[in-house]
Amino acid sequence: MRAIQFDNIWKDFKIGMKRTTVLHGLSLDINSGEIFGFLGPNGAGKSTAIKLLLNFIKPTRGTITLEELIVGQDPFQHLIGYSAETPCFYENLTGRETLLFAGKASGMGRGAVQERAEDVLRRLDLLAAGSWPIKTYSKGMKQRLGLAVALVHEPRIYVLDEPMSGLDPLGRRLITDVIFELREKGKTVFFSSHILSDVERLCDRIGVLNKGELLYCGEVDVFSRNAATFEDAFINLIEGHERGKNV
Amino acid sequence: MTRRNVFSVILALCFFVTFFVVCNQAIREIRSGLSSSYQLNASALPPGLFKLFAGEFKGLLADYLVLEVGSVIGIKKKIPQEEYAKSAAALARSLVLDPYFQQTYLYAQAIVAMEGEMPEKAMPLLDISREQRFWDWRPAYYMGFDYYYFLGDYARASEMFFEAAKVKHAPPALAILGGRFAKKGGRIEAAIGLLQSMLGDPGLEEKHRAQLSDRLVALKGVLLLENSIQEYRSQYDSFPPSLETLIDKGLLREMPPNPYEDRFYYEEKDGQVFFDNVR
Amino acid sequence: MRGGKMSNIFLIARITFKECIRNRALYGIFLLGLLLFTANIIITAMFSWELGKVAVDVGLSVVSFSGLIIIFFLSINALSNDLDRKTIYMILSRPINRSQYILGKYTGLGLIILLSSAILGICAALSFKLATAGHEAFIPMHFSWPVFFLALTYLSLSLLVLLAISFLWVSITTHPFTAVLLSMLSYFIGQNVENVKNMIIKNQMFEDNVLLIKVTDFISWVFPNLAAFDLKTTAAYGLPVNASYLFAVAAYGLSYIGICLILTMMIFQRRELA
Repeated sequence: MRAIQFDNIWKDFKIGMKRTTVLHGLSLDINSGEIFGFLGPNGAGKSTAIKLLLNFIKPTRGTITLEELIVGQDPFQHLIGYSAETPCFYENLTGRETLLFAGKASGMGRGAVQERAEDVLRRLDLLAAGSWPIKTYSKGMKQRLGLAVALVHEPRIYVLDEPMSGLDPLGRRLITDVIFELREKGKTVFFSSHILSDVERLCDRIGVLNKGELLYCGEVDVFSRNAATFEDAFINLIEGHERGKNV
Repeated sequence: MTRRNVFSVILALCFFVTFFVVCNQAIREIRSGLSSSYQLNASALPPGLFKLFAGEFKGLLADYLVLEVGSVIGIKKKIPQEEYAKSAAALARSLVLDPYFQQTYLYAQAIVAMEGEMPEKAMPLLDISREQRFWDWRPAYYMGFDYYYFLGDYARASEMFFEAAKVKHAPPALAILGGRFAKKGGRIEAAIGLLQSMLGDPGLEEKHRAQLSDRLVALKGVLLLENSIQEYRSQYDSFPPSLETLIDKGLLREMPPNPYEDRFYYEEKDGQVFFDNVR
Repeated sequence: MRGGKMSNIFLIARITFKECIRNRALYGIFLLGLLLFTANIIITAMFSWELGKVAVDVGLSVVSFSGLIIIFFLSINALSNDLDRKTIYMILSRPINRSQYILGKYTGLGLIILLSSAILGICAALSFKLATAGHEAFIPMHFSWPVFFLALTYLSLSLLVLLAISFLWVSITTHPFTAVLLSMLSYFIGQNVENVKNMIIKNQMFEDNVLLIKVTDFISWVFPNLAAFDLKTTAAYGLPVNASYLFAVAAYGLSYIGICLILTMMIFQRRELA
């Protein structure tokens, strides 16, 4: 079954008088139960694609579906857990309060959410920090809390925008472990990153985006078959695309 | 948004808009009965404190206060007496903020003194303007007028006219007015001269013109009668028994008009004529 | 799916309220309020007449002033920060729709204003008691506490109306600064629109200027007549209150808030949160 489907997505932005196309006919399928990595250099359009998925912005053309629900028409948020690129919270609230809000807003009952919040905090090594106001958190802690907020209501699909950014090696290991656990449970994880080593290790399939165009969508092993390393394959693909455009 | 949501939103909007329109209309009706006065938050503060809070916007606030007064009085319908008192207070506040403003004393004269008939409230306002606007002869001139016209205080009126005359480029007639009012005799001429100059004053409102014109007519009548009486006296060595006698003796063609009453009043013992019976 | 419409609104209201109330700036405002109340006592001591009237006026003015500061510098920020700093992503990625978000935010921020009015209102009442202690003769004849608290209520209502307008401005503009300016402008216009309209419409001087009259009338309908909510003079003097007038004003305020919020929700539905 398809968890997420991008169907010929175009997105234009109007900056001042100019109209720029950020996504050119993006078509992408993410299957249930897989870990899908969304790659691309900075400014490729990854965050835009994710924001379209979350219905924060509307596509100029095309539709996005989540398990047969159409984004923008049907309510779909109960299916997903989202973590933003740089998670921003209400700084005066504590981590625990934020988690409780997140859980309740997703429909969890009071008892269930309190128990689950403790579990999540423990798993992400935030148990002590849970009682402190978020303004005292380090970047890494905020990043982990961002993931916590996505985990607390145990959705089927996880959409994570750069989940590993700004984390130290310990933090990165923690997150990767959590993502593996999610796959064990049969969840779908769709995350974007530009840290190639993480993507190579974690993902079943990947999609490579450059300047709004999807250059590759498929298995990870297939991708790096014709190059020495995953990194080489990636850079070759991007540079090839750039050269093609400049001709 | 689904179609049902859109429908319920529009329904809610219509509901609120209806309430809004109905209530706004009701409020307007109720509030138009009140004067548009002094909903300024600081209205209960004494002028000095007001100045403190006005800070650098003193001038603006002063202008605004004066405009407010004008707006209350600009209404055509009958204005309750306390509005004039409030106007005086507002003008006082305005003067604290900006004692140099001309409009303020013009309003003090036109609204508080003439229309509201509260010269005693207008006096202190005019006095401040007189002191601060040392280049302007008008405030003192208005004060002189008020002393004569409302308070019948010839001595003070004379003082004021002399004060006004001292200002550079003041009309020379002011000194003459002062002189005339100082003497017991010649006051009628002085008053006539004053009223004539007031009628020509650009600060005079149309609606007060009639008032002053009436007084002028009355005074001219008094002057004519008193001159005729002096004629009679020089001829017959006594005051005439009645005003009609003057007509009989051919010293007067007919009775001059008195806009206030149907006759003039006459004191035989000193030959004085009055246009009303107030003394 | 549990968690119906209303509970979502209350959830957001709760975190908005918690977040705002822990803001240190709020303590500054309360401190300012307390200082001004002490000043009230000094001010009223400065002159020996119209004591009671001044004490009430200053007291209620301080409550109003604090409320305004909260709106212009805290509430608008609270809303626009969500949009700027993308805190809103955390909220809208959950099964909460945008309208619930707006209503929840408004409820939370509105409660802050009501709380501030209540606390400072009590301080105003206390400072009035202190200021007039020993000079009871100078309290206006018909002063009554119910009318005082009525004035306080309507003062709060006018602040809530202003809050609703500021929501509308935030939803329309891109910069929080512009929203603050427009809200301040709305406050200024709202307070003075009645006066200005009377000045222009009833003044003989402007009789012939049809365009000016129409424009002024239009503005007086579109902007809220905040002066109608001002019962300070009534409270200060204990003037009689007209029940139907009060009802009309309350209904007017509530319907104006309703309109502003609905428009905000409609605009916000379409807004791109890039």
